[in-house]
Amino acid sequence: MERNKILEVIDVSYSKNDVEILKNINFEVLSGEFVGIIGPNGAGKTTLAKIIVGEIRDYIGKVYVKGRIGYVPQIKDINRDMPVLVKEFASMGLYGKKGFLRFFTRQDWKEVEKKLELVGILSLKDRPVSKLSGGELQRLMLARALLYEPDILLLDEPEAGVDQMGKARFYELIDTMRENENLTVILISHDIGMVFQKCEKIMCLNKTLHCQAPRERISPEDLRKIFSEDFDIWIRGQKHYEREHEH
Amino acid sequence: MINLIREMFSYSFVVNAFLAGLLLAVSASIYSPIVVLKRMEFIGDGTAHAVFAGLAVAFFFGLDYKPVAILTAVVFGLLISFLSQKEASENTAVGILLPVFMAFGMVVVSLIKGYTPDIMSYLFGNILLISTEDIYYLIFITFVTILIYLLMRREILYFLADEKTAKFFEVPVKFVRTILLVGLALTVVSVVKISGVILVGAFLVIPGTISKVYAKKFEHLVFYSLFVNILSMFLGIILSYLFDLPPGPVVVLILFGMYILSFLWKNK
Repeated sequence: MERNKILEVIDVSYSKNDVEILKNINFEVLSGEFVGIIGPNGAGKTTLAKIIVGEIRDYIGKVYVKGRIGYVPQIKDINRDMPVLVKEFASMGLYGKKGFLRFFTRQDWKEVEKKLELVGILSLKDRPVSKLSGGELQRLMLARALLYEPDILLLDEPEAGVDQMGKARFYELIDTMRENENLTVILISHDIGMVFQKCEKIMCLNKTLHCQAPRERISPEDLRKIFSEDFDIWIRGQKHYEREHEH
Repeated sequence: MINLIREMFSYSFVVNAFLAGLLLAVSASIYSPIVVLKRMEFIGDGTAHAVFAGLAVAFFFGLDYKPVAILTAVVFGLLISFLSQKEASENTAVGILLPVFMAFGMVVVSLIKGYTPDIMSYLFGNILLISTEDIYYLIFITFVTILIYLLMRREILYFLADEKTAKFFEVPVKFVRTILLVGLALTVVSVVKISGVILVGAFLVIPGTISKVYAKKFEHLVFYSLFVNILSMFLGIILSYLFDLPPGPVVVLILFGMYILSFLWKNK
């Protein structure tokens, strides 16, 4: 299948209060790609996500997006105090299509339920969001993003606050979405193991992009540059790591 | 009991007080959960103090106080909306502007020659002094508030549940915030006469705090707040009539009692 350029970031830099957060970022994403952006804390990953989705606008450079972005933010940003039902929360994803002051029809609610079913939480539709586990909340955010009918899914550290089981189910879902709907996925993550397992292309970010290549071409050296730590074990497995480090 | 109620309602000021209480209960039940969930508990106090500055200006120039109070409250609401979009929280913005408006009001009051009892009565309020004109204003405010709630229910829900991400899904977050802050400011103008500047916060914070504990969905918040408001208003007015007490503070104390009871009930 021919892959078109769906996102292009050209020479993007961003500073806040005279502190340089991102410097000369250049990359492109093709449709259907699964791209991982990794980097240590404070590397500017979430800032880059905010620039891509348009929350931050006072950056230098250019960002071209062809299509809609379904943003899945970190679950810690959700106001868990707010008594809102799962289905109501998910319906936010339909808002753009409906518009201001428009009431939801029965068809709209069916659409919401379809997406909740797709992510496996339809049975929780009438439960308050505050009662969900981290993994369930993450899947709810995914359902909301999918209701927006995105061309690109941008996941900002989906593993944060989610247990191992929840994490595994979440990534299974992402795989299914990609297979069925040719979604482009950009995954911002701390979880280097998961990024290397899932993503076709990996970018190493620490203020600037230190590497940007298909997964198999990323070397431990590339990771050492941004993390200042040995990540060989993550990339090539325990046995390889032990063999290499025997001497 | 029936005789007592009959006797109470034979006075027009009591009827006005009940009507005002009922109307205020409706408006406050919509704004109170918003105030609590957005953690802008001091917005009511801030607006009330701003209104005090407006009243001072109106008395100084011999103007009709109502339009000036409304204008001041709206300007205050818009300023809070503007500042809170510039990386200050609503409470910080209130913290900055409240003393400024209050100080300005005090300076203007000091320039008014002679005693200023009318302004001072607004510091403490009195529901029994509600005029028919006040009732018309309250009807208007309540109508506008209900309209905002019914038409923008979905937008308000998204704004409260996940303001940060709501804008990515094209929810007009800035507009919602501004409408709510202006509506809230207008409600505070109507509350001030009942509760006074000093007690206004209780009407906007306590009902929302109680309803938040029990609500499972957005509508519950509003209905539980409405229940709390109506009960406290009516009980407060009846008790203050029976024991010759100031109604505003009595209502606030009842609200606080209900808060304690709800807390104990939840943790029993």
